Amino acid sequence: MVLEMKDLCVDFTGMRGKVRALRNVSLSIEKGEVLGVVGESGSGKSVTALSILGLLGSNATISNGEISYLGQNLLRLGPKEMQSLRGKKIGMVFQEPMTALHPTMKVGSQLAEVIKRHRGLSKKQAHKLAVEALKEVHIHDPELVAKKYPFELSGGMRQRIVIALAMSAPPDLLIADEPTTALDVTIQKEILQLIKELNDKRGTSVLLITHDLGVVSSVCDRVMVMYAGEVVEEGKTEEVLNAPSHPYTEALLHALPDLADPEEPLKAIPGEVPDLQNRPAGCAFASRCPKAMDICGVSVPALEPVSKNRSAACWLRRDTY
Amino acid sequence: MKKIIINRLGLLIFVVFGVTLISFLLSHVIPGDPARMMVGQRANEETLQQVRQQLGLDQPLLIQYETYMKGIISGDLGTSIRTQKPVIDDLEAFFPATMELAIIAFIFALVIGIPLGVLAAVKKNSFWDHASRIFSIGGVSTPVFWSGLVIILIFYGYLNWFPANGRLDMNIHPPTHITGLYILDSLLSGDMVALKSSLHHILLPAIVLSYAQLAVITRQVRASMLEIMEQEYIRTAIANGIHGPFLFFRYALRNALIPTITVVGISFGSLLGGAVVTETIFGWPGMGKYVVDSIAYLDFPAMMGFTLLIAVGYVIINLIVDLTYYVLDPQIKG
Repeated sequence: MVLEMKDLCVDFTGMRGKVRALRNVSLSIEKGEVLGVVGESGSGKSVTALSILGLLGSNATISNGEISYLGQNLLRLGPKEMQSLRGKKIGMVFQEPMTALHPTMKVGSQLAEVIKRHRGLSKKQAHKLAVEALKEVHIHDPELVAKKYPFELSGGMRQRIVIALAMSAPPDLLIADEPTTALDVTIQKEILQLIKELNDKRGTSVLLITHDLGVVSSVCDRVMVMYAGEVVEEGKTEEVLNAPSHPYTEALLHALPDLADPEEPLKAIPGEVPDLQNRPAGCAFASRCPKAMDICGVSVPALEPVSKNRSAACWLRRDTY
Repeated sequence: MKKIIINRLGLLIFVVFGVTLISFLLSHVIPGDPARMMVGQRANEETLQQVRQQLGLDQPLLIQYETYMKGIISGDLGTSIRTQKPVIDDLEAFFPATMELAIIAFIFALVIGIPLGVLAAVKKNSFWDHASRIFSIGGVSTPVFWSGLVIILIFYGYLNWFPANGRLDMNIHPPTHITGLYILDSLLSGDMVALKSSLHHILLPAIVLSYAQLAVITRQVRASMLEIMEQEYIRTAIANGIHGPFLFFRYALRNALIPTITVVGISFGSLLGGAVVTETIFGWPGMGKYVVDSIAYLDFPAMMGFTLLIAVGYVIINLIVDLTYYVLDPQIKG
């Protein structure tokens, strides 16, 4: 097990008081595995990712749970130990490649700087490896690109560089927070292929955050569906996508455009995500759920196994396994 | 880069024209008669008219302006009514002292102000932030004539660590004249005795002068640092394991400096212009005293010459500011 998160709860303190952004989130990633985390905006995907690297803002507190990396509890690490872990053991790629790079430093230098830090090399050696790193993310003419500033490069190129930065150590785990959302469709595919390739070649585990089920189906071994700060379903990608256990997952799949029948209007999920400040009692999805029962509005269903490789948090599945 | 320089130097012509026109008009509409100042209260009308003729003050304004402008083009700023010497010679004699004081004060303001601003931003709302705020606000709100006197009292009066007057000890010869800046000249000519003495003399007035500018730089650096630290590329850098001073200086400060440069440029301009009081307190033989005396004497050519020099200085500083942007931000193409 590379990473294991148990019952993580994160609270944000804002002007209107405390909001629980994550509620008992648990996940685990095996070596070489790609875990997808899906959910709509505000479901807690990014908070989950940021909490692993200790990058939550000062208004956030982790009030419960445990995050362990190779058996080491990350929440107990001091700032120094955490710094030496970031980038070196766990790399991270963010959504927006246009703003993720130092705007006035040449990309080769940015890479070399990080490589120098992680591997304790001289400046010259690090520069050599920086060019190598660019080559590995399939940048043509890496020597030339190394001498460019970020503003001279396209979004796709920049995202490749961001990935090269995150992979430079190389880390055991790569967290990619919506790495393709800001890119053109054609570039999206290339970036996903690149992540998958690095995963295959180096055995790096990947935590891939996305709101795109298409992305999940093409690269993820397992998938975790989040709703209103909770995990509602988790299991092998194929199984979850072919036969969802939770009505929310089902609704998400229904909301995808049907390529066989392009005239068919999109089936949006009625209603909206509940305000986390005034979270309803019972299941958070109950108000939008077509299959809601009486109990759903009263009591929160726990995430429990529904089949061999699958768990769901839904009263409907309680007695099926 | 070349284009910016040529552009700005072209602009200089208009600035010179505008500044001379305004300062010329202003000095001629204010009440007071320099000829009367020269001859004294008791002189008769005849002498007065003679002097006015000598100074060209009997000519129509337009003709006077034309004569003045013709002089400027040929490098002649007129003759000082008070010292009876060409204004350009007077400025040459006093300007280097002011320039030297302003440069050293500027270096102090940068060397202290920038790290202080970074510290305040990095340790936001901590003891260090508040301390730096109080220290730097103290600078803008303390009048120079007060802080100057206090510093003289402590470091000269009680401790006697530093001299309180002049640019050099009485018994030391100025270094060979190259630029007129004693520190630079003594370095260039290898005159260590003069170097030591001039550093010793410049320290107190430079500290006093820079203290007033410190707040502007510190506050600006703090504000832009806070803005930059929120940016995504900083988060990426942190996620990639970059931390500590390297993160603050190499990643954040470099970009935070871009908006700071503008403020810094203006600040240097006010150092030049604002040296007047400091120079008076520390008996610094710079332009400040010369200008104050000239104003009291209604010495128009001297006042106008000074104004022109400061205006040209501002244009040159702005040019340097623009060139600095170019160096700091590769996205700006010359």
